[in-house]
This record gives sequence, C-alpha cells and structure tokens, in this order.
Amino acid sequence: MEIKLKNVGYTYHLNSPMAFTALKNITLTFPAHQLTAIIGKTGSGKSTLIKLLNGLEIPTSGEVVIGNQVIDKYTKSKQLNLVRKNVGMVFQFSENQLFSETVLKDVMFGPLNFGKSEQEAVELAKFWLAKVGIDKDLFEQAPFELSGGQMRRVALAGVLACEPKVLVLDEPGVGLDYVSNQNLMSLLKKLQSQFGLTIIMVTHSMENVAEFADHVVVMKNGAIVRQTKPIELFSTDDSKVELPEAAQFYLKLMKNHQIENELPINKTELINRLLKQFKPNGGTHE
Amino acid sequence: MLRKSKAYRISILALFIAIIIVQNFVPLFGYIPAGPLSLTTIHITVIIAAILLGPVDGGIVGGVWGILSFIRAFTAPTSPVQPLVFTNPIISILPRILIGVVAGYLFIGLTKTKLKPAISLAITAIFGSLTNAFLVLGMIAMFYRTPAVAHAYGVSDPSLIIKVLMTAVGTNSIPEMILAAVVVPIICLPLLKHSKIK
Amino acid sequence: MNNFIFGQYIPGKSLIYRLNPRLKLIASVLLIIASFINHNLLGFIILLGICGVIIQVSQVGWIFFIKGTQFFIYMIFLTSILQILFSNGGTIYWHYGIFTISSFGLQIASLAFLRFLVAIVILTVYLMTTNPAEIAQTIQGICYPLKFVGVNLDDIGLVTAIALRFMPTLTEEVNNLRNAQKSRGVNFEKCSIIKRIKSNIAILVPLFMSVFRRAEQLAATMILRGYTDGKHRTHIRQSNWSKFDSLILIVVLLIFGLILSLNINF
Repeated sequence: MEIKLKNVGYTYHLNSPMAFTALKNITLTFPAHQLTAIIGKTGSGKSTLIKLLNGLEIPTSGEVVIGNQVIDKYTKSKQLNLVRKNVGMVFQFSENQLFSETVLKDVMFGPLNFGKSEQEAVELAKFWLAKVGIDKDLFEQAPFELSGGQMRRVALAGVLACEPKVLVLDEPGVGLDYVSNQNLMSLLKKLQSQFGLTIIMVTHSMENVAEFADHVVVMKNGAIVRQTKPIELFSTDDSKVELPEAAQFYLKLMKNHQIENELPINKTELINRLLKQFKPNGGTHE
Repeated sequence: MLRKSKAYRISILALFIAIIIVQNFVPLFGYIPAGPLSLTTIHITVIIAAILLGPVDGGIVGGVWGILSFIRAFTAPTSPVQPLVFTNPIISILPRILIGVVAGYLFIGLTKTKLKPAISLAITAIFGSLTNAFLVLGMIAMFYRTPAVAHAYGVSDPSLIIKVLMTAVGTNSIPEMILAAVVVPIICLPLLKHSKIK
Repeated sequence: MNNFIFGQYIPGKSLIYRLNPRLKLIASVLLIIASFINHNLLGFIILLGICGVIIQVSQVGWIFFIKGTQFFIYMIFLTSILQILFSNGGTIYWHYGIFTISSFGLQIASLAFLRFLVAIVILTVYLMTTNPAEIAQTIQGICYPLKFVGVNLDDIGLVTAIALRFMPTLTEEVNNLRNAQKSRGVNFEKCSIIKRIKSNIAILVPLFMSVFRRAEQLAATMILRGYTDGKHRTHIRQSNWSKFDSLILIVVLLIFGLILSLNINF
C-alpha cells in the first residue's frame, strides 16, 4: 500500500502562545512494498511525520492519502480506525508497552480490538510470534520476565498480528547491541519480501539506512531536504549528512591513497572494494 | 540494598504522587466518565503505594488524591455532583487517606498468612477499593440527601438518593473493585518477586 | 483534547510571572474565599473584573484561556441548570412535571455559577504562571507547622520537587502509551465502559513498570551524589519579597475587605 503526502503542514497547539510548526508543506510518496528510511536531526519533524501516517495526528493543512483513504483536517476520529488497521506502528522502546499477564495475550490484544474472534486471535498471535522468533515455551510467560530484545520482538508481533499493509517503526534498533540490531533489521527485510509489506522507519543509524533501505528521505527543520536511494545519498561526500562508518573509513583512506573516488556505503561493499584495490600483487597500490 | 534505602522510598513516593497528579489532570485516564459519576483508576495507585511502602505512605498518597479532589471540586469538576458534594473535605479527603491505611495494614497482615502472594494482593485490592466506595457513598447517603444533590444525580426526590447510590455501587464500585483486583497483582507480583517480600 | 491547559505551566515573562510565588498563592486563596463568602451582585462584578484584569495582565491570550477552561465552565453551567430546574421556593415562574423555575433556584444557581467561575479563573492563572519549582517551595512553606510534629521539611520539599519534575514526563509517557495502544486498535473516546476500563489497564500497567525503573535510577543517582538523610539542603533560588509584592498584597486585602463589607451591610 502506498502512502502519499500532499502539501502537508502540522502545527502543535494551534492558536495558543505555545504554537509550534513542526512540518511545513511536505509533499512526499512512500512507495509500496519498499523500505523507506527517514533520517534527520532531533527536532527535524520525523516523529510528527510518522504520527500522521496512521492518524495519531491529523494534518493542520494539506492531506495524507493512505491507499484510497484521504485524511485531512476535516477527518472524523471514527474514520481513523480503518487507517490504523492498515498502518501498523511500532514505537520507540516498544518493549515498554507490554501489559498483559502472558506474552500470547499481549499479542492477541490488537487482533481482538480489530474485531477478530478469540480463536482467530490466538492463531494470529501464535503465527506472528513464531515469525519474529519467539519460542513456544515463552507464550505463557509474563512479558516482564523476558529479556529486552525478546520483549521488543513480542511488541513487534503485537503489531504484525493486526495484519497491517504498512509497518511504521520509530527507531527499531535503538538500544540494541550490534547482533540484535542486525537480526531485527534482517527480520524486517524478510517480512517485507515475504508479505509484500511497505516499511517506513525513522532511524539515526546510517549503517541501517545504507545496508537495508531501498529509499531514504532526509528531513531538516520540518521540511524534506532530499529523497533518493541510499547509494546516491552516501556515495559522494557533500557533508550534508553523516556518512556510514564504511564510507567514512574509505574517505580517510582516499586522502592518502590514489583510489576510486566513489564511496562504498556498507561493510560488504567496503571489503570488496578494498580487496579489489589493494591486491597483494599490482592493483592501484603504489 | 537500593530498595531498602531512604532515597528509594523518597523517589518512589514522589513518583506515585506524580502519577496521582497526572491521573487527575490527563483527560480520560484517572477518571473515566460514566453517567452521573465517573469511574476512577486512581484508587489503584493508592493501593499499590500502600502495598509497597506501607500504611503511612499509602495514607500520604491517598491524602494527595483527596486534596486534589477537594480543589478539583471547586475549580475543575468532571460531573455535576462534584461541586455539591466534594467541596466537603470530610468526603473528598478522609476516605482516600483511609484507602491507603486500610490496604497497608491489611497487606502486612496477609503476608503473615500462608496465602499465595497473588491472592493476598487481590484481597488487599478488593478491600482497599471497598473502603473508598463505602465511605464516599455512605457519607453522601448520610449527609447529602438534599434536593440539589438528588437532581445532580438525575432523580426528583432526595429519598431516591439511596436507590441511586445502591445503583452506583453496582455500576461504579464493583467495576472499580474488579479492575483493582486484576491490575494490582499484575503490577505488584514481579516487584515482590525481586525484592523477596512474601 | 490538545487544548487542555488546566494545571499546566506556560513559560512567560509578564508581570504576574515576576510576583513572589507565596504572594500569588495567598492572593489566589484570598480571592477565592472572597468569592465564596460573597452574596452580592456588585461584589461579583468587582471579582469578575479582577479576573479579567488578571487574564489580560498574564498575557496568555484570551482565546487560548477560554478554550482551555471551557470544559469545566460547561460542567459548572450544567450543575447550575440542574439547580435552576429542580430547586423550589420563592416566586415560581414556570412549572412542568418535576421541573420548576423559581426565583430561589435562579438565585442559588447563579451564585454557584459565579463563585465557581471566579475560582476556576484564579486557580488556572496561578498554575499557568507559577513554575513547578516555585510551587514546590510554596508547598514546603505551607507544611512548615508539621516540623513541630517531627516531620522532616526537607524531605517534603524533595518529594514535592521530584513529583512536580516528573509530572510532564509521566504525562508524555501516558500519551505515548495511549498512541501505542491506539495503533493496536483501541479507541479511547468512543467505546463501551468495559472496553474503556480494559484499555486503561493497557496504560496503567506499563506506566507503573516504567515508574519503578525510574525510581530505582533516581535513588541510585541520589545515593551516588551523596544524599544520605535529606538534612541540610539549601536552595539556590531564594524568593525575594519586593515592594511591588507588598503593594499587590495590600490591594488584594483591600478587595477582600471591600467584598466582606459589601456582604455585612446587606
């Protein structure tokens, strides 16, 4: 499912002394079945933008088109439930939202709210818990007894069990160690191809963008500065964005060595490039 | 040990008071409107405070809720009954203090029995909720059988107030009690497990 | 819901912000008491006039102020309508079934409405223009007599300061949790009572879990920074009482006296 924003603006506390414009006239398309990353500094409007994508906030000007449903400032809150069914949202530190007595019940909460029967909800919950890699033995445990990484997976399953067509994630990997982050990101990538999910994620990790995103949107002061493919964003150093570590490393190398000046954006590419350039016999090595 | 320190007691007492304030001021959170009265979830905070910190601190947290309901009745009423009844501190403050005191002592007593912690917690929650319900509704029945209060409850005659209050027990007090009995064990069990109080 | 302002501090620089916080509390309480002892129309005109001046001087903006308090004013209005329709006595103007409009009812209802209106305006302005640290200090001041029954005043100050400091944090947390559960299909505004209660569990449980985590972190930090028993704390910010504060106090006392005399004469 595709999401389009047309001239969208958002102002907090409209008509008050605390009025604050978070988004200015944004026009943007999130293509279907792709993984789009949104990057930008704290306060650039990323979080506000994603709240518009599932009707948690209503734009104060312009319109958000989700599939064939249009949300603008006249939209009534009743109509938003369908939007929320189609667009699932995983919040930052999502492990903190678990509340039920057991893991299984927590995952069933969403489907039950969206009108599934008890039986269907159990099946959905079991299916998605398995997909995110939670062991059957843990289904009847209290969620508070799991590890942080496991709790985050349970929270993800809780959203997936509502069967959304679009999945929005706010910093999915924040606070996880390197391996857990890689596993989570590969899982998302797998879900994207297996179920045709459209994924939109806010992140501060340029490595995640370079390695996993199909599409990247750069935000600054409530506006879109660039939207392109990660390889185009990171392959030259125009100092507008922070580069992934692989590219930064290569850039330092370029200062002292005569090597190809297109930057590799992730680790695999970096290794391949180095192997090619620094062959023990010959190559460009002086 | 951290949980035994005075710093922890002060921090958690302060945070409980902050929760009470937030429950009073964030709409649809501490008070859920339901007819002429509103259901509350704030007694749960007081009961949990009493279980974790004892009857005195439970009473303090309850007292803060009472003072806020008292001020609220003058300045930010959520139902037509509040300005008429809760402007009396005996109804708005005293029962709330007693929730904490009753729940605190009851839980201490129950820990000496052989009951499972989950059961003790649920019993404490039930009696804590009942303290609030009986004192508030009982005092309204005793002191406020006036035409204005009757009308704020939507009945024509003060003699019908008792009937309304009995209905309120069914529509408000019992749901509040069940809510507490469900939520209190979910929240307290993991904590009691860690701190090894049984 | 976005315009809910009761109890919220809004940073500003107008005259009212610069008054001594204790004076502000004393003045607010005096004016509220004045409105509750008043039975006199002229008295209410004076009090409402003062409310108007206070809102104007506070510079928070009229539209914003009205939007923020309209829910409570509506509730009090509803209470007053009930009192009008159901109270009986004096001259009866209209009667239908159990409904009566009488002079007695109109009098009681309008008195109650005006009193609560004054109280709402004054308390809202007080909370909007007094920052949490100042409120904490004032509360500590009020609790001073408790010192003689063995309560540690510094602990009260500390507890109040921490509670007020975490109020906005917890409010934000409640909103985040509410958003998270909304995304899982909960509709908090339009649903049956049982569902509303259930959806509140989904906020309460995680909120408490996070409060316990925070309390532990906070306690550890306090201990690491040398907190032992809470004695001998000093305040960086000492509130000064200026000549202007005395002037305002005199004015408020005069108003209070005026309202009192208006009611004794009648």
